[in-house]
Amino acid sequence: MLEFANPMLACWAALTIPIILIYIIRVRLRRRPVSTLLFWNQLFDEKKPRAWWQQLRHWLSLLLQLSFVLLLVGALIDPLWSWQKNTQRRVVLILDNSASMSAIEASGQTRLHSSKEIAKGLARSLRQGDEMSLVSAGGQAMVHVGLTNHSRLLIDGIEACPETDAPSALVSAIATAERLLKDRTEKSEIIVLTDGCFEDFESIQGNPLVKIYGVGTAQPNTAITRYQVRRSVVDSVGYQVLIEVTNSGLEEVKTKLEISLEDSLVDVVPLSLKAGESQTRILDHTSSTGGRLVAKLDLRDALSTDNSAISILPQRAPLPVTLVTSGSLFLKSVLESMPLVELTIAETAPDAAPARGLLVIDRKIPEVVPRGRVLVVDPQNHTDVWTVGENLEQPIVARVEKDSPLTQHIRLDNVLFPGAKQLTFARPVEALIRDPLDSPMLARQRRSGGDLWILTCNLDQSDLPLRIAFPVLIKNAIEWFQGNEGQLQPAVPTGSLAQFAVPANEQAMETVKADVILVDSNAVTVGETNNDDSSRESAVEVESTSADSVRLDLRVSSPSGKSSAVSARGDLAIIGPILECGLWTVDGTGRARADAKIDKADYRWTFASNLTNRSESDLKPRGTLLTADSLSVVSLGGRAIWFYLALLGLLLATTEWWLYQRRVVG
Amino acid sequence: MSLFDSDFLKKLEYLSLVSRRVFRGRLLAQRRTKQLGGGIEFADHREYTPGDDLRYLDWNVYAKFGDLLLKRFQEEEDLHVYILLDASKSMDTGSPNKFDYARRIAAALAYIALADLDRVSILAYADRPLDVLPLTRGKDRVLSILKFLENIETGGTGTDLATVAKSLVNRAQRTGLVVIISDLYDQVGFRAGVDLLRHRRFEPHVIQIHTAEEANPTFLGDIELDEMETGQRRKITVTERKLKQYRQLFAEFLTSIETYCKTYSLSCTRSTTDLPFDELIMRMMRASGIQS
Repeated sequence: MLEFANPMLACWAALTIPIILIYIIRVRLRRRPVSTLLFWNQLFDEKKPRAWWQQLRHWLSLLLQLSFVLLLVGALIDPLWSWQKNTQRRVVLILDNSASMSAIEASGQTRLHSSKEIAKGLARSLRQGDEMSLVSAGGQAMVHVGLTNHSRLLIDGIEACPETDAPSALVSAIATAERLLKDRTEKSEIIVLTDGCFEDFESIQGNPLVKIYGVGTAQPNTAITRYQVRRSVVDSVGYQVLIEVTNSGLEEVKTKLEISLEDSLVDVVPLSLKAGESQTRILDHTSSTGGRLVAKLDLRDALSTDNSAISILPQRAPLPVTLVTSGSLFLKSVLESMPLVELTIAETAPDAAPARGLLVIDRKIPEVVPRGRVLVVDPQNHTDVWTVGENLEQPIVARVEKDSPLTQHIRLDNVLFPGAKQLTFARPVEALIRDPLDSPMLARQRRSGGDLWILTCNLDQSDLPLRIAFPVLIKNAIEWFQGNEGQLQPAVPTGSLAQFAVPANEQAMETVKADVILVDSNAVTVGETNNDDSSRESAVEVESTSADSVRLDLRVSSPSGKSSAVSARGDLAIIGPILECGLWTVDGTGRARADAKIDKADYRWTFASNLTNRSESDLKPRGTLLTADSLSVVSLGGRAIWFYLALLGLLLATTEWWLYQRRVVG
Repeated sequence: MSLFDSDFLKKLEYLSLVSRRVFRGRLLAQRRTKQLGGGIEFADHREYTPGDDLRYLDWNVYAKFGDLLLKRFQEEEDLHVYILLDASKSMDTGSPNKFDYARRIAAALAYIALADLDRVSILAYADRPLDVLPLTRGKDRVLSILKFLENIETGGTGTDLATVAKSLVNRAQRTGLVVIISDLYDQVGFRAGVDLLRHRRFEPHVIQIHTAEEANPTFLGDIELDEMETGQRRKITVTERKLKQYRQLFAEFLTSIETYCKTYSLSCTRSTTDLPFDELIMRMMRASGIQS
């Protein structure tokens, strides 16, 4: 049943009357003198049109002209289907621009491109009184265009909707859409254009307001679904790569996994994955230089984003260690065997430990213990920190703090520490190894300039150096003193927030290394475990030096080169959700505060982001979707009826002109 | 004289000289008539009958075969040239004007004929004879002929060569060459007239004139055509296809004229008005020279 938006404009149909009159009366013809009508008479009398349509050609001309006028009048009065008239539509269009929508279909176009074309058709079909809003659901729900009747605005918004590498956030997008429609009393609907490659499909399907239209077809895809790197537990310069590759297709896939560090090939792993199979590999390698560690699948499939993953392997800087000893072969040997230790032997103890290094003092301890990170072995004399007492009555290891990272992987049950002294400390210490009488045999004292370790044991008399526990103990100490320096930063999965500590000044920048703290639930499984104590300690130092801080202006650059400002709250800054895979860079430029002792500070922090999402990499819809073709029917091919009427009228006018003005019909 | 200016007269003199030098004895006058008589050129034999002049008896044949045959000779005499000039209103059209063009041709032919000591008569006609210049002879009559031609005006309510031919046949003292200068937009009358002339032993020569626009009209659309000769009007819609059909029809008309003339061994010359008249005369001379 048709109704009309502007019925009054039907009066323009009166234009047909003058057309008919003009046609009947006909205008005065041009007169042309000729010598004879002999031939013209022959031509027109003898070759009269015989076909019925030729005899009706003049009437056909009139009919075409009248049809042209009536079609234009039809376009003016703007016919509406009854359902269009009754339904003042309020539509929130949710465009899924998640990573899986970047998959390339057989047509050569991405799924997002197809859904944009459908969305533009819907926007063009808006009628008087209709309103539409545009929300995207890639990584996070984002309202691009609020409820409006302006088709051009909506089309511009649809075209500007970017591709993302993030997982779908349809649940939150639908919640946003429901909030947009909350105050609307008219009939409303939420139209979702998606490929169906997301979790929580069933919860969305149950919503009566939501209509989910499918875009694209199920396609095979092989992807890196887990990727993480950590430091080797047995090798200071070693690292381990955890990679999981999943074949979500229906056929077996054979491919190669290439690992490269700074574009240099490190490893190639051949893979053979059956349909739906996932394979996990852990690869061990060493590198002290660090750089970009990239894992890449050697194949071409519908979705290329998940065929590679990247992480940052920090450089392992050598640790300067000064050993003050009169000839302890054990200490010298064990420190020399450490890969990252730059050992210096000294006769007398300096006033302070080397910068960013460690001072190890064997027996020759000055009265004032040097500043910085210091390990004291077998103290024999009084200092400002402790007082030496008698030898321990029972110098046998009775208890080891297993929870401390300093004593992890150590078994010292019933090991004798001959010559161990009873030590009395001026300040409280943390006892990590004790004798049966609870006297500390290995103690740690926290200091603002660097920790102090005291091991009371005569290495020449003890069998400790002969045990495996001794090099492990020294290695733990070295790594402890190094703190987080050279520790691996976990890659951020797309769609997550990246949070990092902002150094307040130059001093802080020397000591504080920003840690990525993953906020979402994947953080535990994906992120590398950090040293809690160290993080806490870093935070303490930032607070203590905040008076001299320099305010940093932070800007984050995405892998595609887009730059935006980052606002830090206190010493923490949050970026995200991360919508692109690749390397992100945060640059900080310092501005000195009035009371600061320093003028300038620059800061750079880089982190990697990967898709590693099994749900997005599986390019098969999780449920039944409505076909997007039915949307074309709703929008009548993307245009209102009046447009087609006007187009038909134009076509008729052109036909009439061609047939009669070009004299095709005589 | 705007129609026959000095340049025109110079061209006539030139044409006359050329006709005498190149086509001596082959054009118009000085040509052999079909009458047999006291000429010097042998024509054929006939059987001797008593009373015949014995001087013309062919003694050689008698000596060889014993047959008495009388030699016959062609008689030379001056030629009567009748110029039938179509002065119907259909001729008063085109640029250059078709009637002016026809008058120039008529003047040129008359001049050449007079120069060759032939007798010339001009008859302007439409649906009937409009004006007649009686047979005249001598080059000194050229100016009167030109004046006669210049004074002729188009008229009548049609073209009817048959009626005119009948009038000529009745009026002419002797048979001779009849030059018809017309656009021939009178097919039935034209054929009847020419047939009559042929039957009465005249020698018709057809000069068909038309304008380029008549052969290839360019107007399109809804047009009211006004026939100049009869004043008849017709509203038509001219399309590209109709124009194509017209051209085809006109070409068929020209072909039918040619075919008719060839059928009866008539000399036929066709021209558009944009061809210089002297060139047309030269073309006619060449054609006559070949045929004569």
